[in-house]
Amino acid sequence: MRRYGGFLVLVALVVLAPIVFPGNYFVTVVGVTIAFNALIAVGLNLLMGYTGQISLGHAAFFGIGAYSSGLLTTLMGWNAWLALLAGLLAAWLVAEMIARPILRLKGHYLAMATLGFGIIINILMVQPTHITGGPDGLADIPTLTLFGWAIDSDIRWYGVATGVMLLGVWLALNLINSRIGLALRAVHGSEVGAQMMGVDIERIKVRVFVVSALFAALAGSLFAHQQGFISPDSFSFHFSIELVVMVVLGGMASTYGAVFGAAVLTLLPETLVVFEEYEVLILGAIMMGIMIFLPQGLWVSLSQKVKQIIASNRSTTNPSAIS
Amino acid sequence: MALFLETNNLTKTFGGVAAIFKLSFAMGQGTVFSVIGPNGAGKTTLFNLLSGIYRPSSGQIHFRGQDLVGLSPHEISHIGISRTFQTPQIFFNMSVLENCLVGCHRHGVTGFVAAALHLPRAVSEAKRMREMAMENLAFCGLDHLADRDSDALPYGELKRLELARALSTQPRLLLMDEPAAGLNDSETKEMGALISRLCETGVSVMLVEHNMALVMAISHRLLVLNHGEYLAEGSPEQIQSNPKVIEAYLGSGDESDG
Amino acid sequence: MGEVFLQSLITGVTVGSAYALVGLGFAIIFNASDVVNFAQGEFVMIGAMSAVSLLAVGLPFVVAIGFALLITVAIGMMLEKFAIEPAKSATVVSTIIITIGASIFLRGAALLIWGKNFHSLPAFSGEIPIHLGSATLTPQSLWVMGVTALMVLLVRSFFKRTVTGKAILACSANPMAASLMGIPVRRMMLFSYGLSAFLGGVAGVLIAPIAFTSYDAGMMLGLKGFAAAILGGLGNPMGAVAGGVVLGVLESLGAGLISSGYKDAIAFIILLLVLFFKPQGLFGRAGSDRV
Repeated sequence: MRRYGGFLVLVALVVLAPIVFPGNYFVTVVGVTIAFNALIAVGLNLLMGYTGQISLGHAAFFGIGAYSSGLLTTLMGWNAWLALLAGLLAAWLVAEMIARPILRLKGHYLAMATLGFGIIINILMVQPTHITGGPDGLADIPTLTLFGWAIDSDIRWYGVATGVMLLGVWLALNLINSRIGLALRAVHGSEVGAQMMGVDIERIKVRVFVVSALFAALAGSLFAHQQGFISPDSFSFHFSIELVVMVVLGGMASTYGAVFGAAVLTLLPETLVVFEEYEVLILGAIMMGIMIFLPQGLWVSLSQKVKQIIASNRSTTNPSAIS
Repeated sequence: MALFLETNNLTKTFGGVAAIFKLSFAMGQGTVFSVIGPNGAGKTTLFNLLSGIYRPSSGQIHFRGQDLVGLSPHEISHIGISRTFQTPQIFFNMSVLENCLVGCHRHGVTGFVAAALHLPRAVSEAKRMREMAMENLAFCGLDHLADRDSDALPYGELKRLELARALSTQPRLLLMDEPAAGLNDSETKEMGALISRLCETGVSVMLVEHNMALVMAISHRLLVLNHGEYLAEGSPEQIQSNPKVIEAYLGSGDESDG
Repeated sequence: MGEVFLQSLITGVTVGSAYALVGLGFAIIFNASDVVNFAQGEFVMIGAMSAVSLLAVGLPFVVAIGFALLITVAIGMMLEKFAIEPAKSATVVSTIIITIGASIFLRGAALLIWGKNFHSLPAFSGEIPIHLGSATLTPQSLWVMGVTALMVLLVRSFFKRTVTGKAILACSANPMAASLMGIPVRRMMLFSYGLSAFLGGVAGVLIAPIAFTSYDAGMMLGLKGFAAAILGGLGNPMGAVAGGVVLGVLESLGAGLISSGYKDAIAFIILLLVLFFKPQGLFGRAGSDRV
């Protein structure tokens, strides 16, 4: 199947990276962060890129996953996997609760509501200092153990994180190429048109919001165990914005674009370490520049170029949508 | 036996102004039924009421014995009513075939989980839908454009794509809002032929259209509205010779010209 | 209890005045161009920080403030010229991202220029508080409320009575028709951004003596201003002003009664409730059709 060609390339890339560059900091350390961010971005892209519903508060779900795992394992002594499930459940419940009223809003109102939600959740991480550790964060979160095999080294975490990320990409690709994916994109194209085709737009928006929240919460739980320490800073409004940038940088409505955007935006500060104080400035410039000059995103624009070249070389190939 | 489509004292007001007022009419199954009237007669409002986009201020709508009032557009679509729009509501972010596949949405059962896991039943369902969508594209003469991006289509083909997409829902009743608007003469003829063929396959069509030649050529019955109210009903011949209808059209012509 | 209430009310109206000015700026830009300018809060920060710097190089107080406001207005116009104008046909989501990008960019620039330190301006007319029972009112609070009231009245009569003001309103109602009528739509946009930036700058200068300012002080203020604009009904300038004051008062009452740490949460919970149950805003009419 041609649509899984891209997926196999991604798998190969992920597998080969640590073999070609063994012990490389950018692969086994930054690579783990890229995988987590990519997982969230792929989920957010289902909501934003495909369904056309902006969220400026998705860091909240990342945080709900992380704090559920962190609190339940350190304070309550829960099994880490059980805590992870509880985190997913918590994110599900919260998403289900707010999705209905929030997704009835559109445009600026939706942006503002999701933003407000994100900030409220972030404050709930900072304020109850006696539970969450407040701004100082939560330390000593144990690492994960898989069938008695502790995930305690960079390369092991690389395997787990990228494995989960690839699973997320695979699920997202399947979803997009299905009846549900078509309906999601139809909602983006014309809500009234989608309704007349029998799509329950309110319900499907809620569902995709929940799915994207679950992607973020899963990344959050794993992030907490991998870092061993979490603080509210990682789940702030600023991170919500970075997630949006990952999606638009790659190009909305492109799953690989979201992975690409996550990779670029995660690597950027690492490579810019020398100009640390320029990081904020550059992030802002990227956001404006992409939206003004490449509104389709870097990845989508590039892959369209490549497709054009291929098409002009082999005039018989028929163009089809990228996924 | 319950009537196919029937409204009873249907009224819709916007801020105290009635766009549709105490409208009662019935439409028979298997016909092309046109709704005409001067601008502002309330034709599009009627379509929005029948398709669930607006909720009536009062009155009833019954379709095959079922009450439609209070149902949302997607529920109405599941009952077997679909529509096209004055300005095509095409999903411009999708290909021609994909647009049509969305029309098949209501025949599928694949949910988020089955879709994400790529379960065999999701795969076979997708295959079935693809065949169905291709059939409808072929019916509208668009099958050779299936993989084209819909935003690259000329206007006439967009109109036919919207029709093909609506057909993919397998409606019993299709509401068509100005299918010939913006089309040239030969395209208009094609569209007329398409609608007639459609009616022969068993789909009832309710039509709002300004091109009177087309309306008179393909309609079985006509309903005339004026200022949201019932003015007349009958066969094309009866309507053409009805003095009230002539007056309404001429009267409104006077206003807009003078 | 009564004193706590009075003190909260004073603090709330003072802070709310700043929200009101930011919200008013939001409403002006939204009316003129249908853009929600997330960089609005940065104008507050730039106004305050520029005034601090200009004062530090030895300019007289009034001159420093005048130049600070000029700088803010110039940046507001540059924002329109270089970020909004080139992306004319952008979707709502795109313009949201562009203006958030602009706000982050300005914050980044401020970080490079002024560093991470906190700054503050001296009070305009002394620090001796006025006692009202057991509650106190600083002279600066009076400045904030007074100047805000003045600004609001000026803006109101500007849109009601001047040709330029009416032209801007025409641009918002129907840009195509406005340009056919010979109104220079682009120049009106530029002017609207300048005016909004000016109001933001004024808010910044006014509250800098009360609240410390730093490179990232604009973000929260901008969001609160946005909340004020929504509370008042997006696109309703006087609603935004009322929304700002209401938000400021509820926030400081909540802080007084519950805990000051949850102050921001209270503001956003109010915002969510309004969006869920009364999206056209508490005083809204203008924005209802845009939901």
